[in-house]
Amino acid sequence: MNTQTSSIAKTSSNLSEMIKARLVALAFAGAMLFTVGFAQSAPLHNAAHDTRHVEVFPCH
Amino acid sequence: MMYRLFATAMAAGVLVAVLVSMVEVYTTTPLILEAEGYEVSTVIIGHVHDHSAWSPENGWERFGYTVVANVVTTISFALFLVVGLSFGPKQADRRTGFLMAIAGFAAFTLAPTMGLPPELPGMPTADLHARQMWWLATVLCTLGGLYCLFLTDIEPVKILGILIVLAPHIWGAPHPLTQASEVPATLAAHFAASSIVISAILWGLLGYFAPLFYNYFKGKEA
Repeated sequence: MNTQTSSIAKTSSNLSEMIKARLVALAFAGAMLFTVGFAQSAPLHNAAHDTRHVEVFPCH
Repeated sequence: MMYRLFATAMAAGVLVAVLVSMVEVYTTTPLILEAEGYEVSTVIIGHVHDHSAWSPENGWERFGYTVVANVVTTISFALFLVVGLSFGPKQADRRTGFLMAIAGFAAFTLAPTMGLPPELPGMPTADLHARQMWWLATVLCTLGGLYCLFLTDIEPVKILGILIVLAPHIWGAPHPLTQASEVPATLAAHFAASSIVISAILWGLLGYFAPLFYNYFKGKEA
């Protein structure tokens, strides 16, 4: 019984760690994409200009 | 797990971004530079650069910044792909990698391109904010819809997934008031085709390398 409980606890802690890792990864990905593809600051736009065009982000 | 996701995305992202940047030098970059020649005479269309702001000098400096921007973009794409891999078996295989790459290509390139075709500098476009919102909505709907379609087993949810994928296209993308442009149509067509092919190469390479690094970093986790 104890083994079973601890194995369930372990699975659920693994799962919550997995969900947390995925959410953090997606948040980072979103923030980086916003900076390269969306941010309106002129120097950022000019630096990432060619990438925005090739990767089909709305640019100008 | 966090370490594994980020290490994989960074390794695959940097490698693929450098490879893709080399391809761009011979394919899309000359087309962008050529289009910028027409752009000077098309101020009326509304595409005006802020010339007082800093911008990299053409040549190595501009290429360097493009590589950096490509690295950041590709790491972001790789993070999405690796999150996809994390739904699969602990030991990722190439097949899953390629399937996730196809999903990424569909969500980040194919779906938004349907409404907002690749644009060269100097081409007429609709309001930037409206296009960005539509792009974002389309990418999120496609990712969410594909998740419902392929990563759940409930029939009604799958049907909902199809509807979510279609929704932004039924709504419709913002279009420019005029289609007239100084940029030659053949140049624009060439660029549109090239940029879609380059995205396909990018996702294909990510689909190949991400599972390799994902398995490599499995043993390195604390």
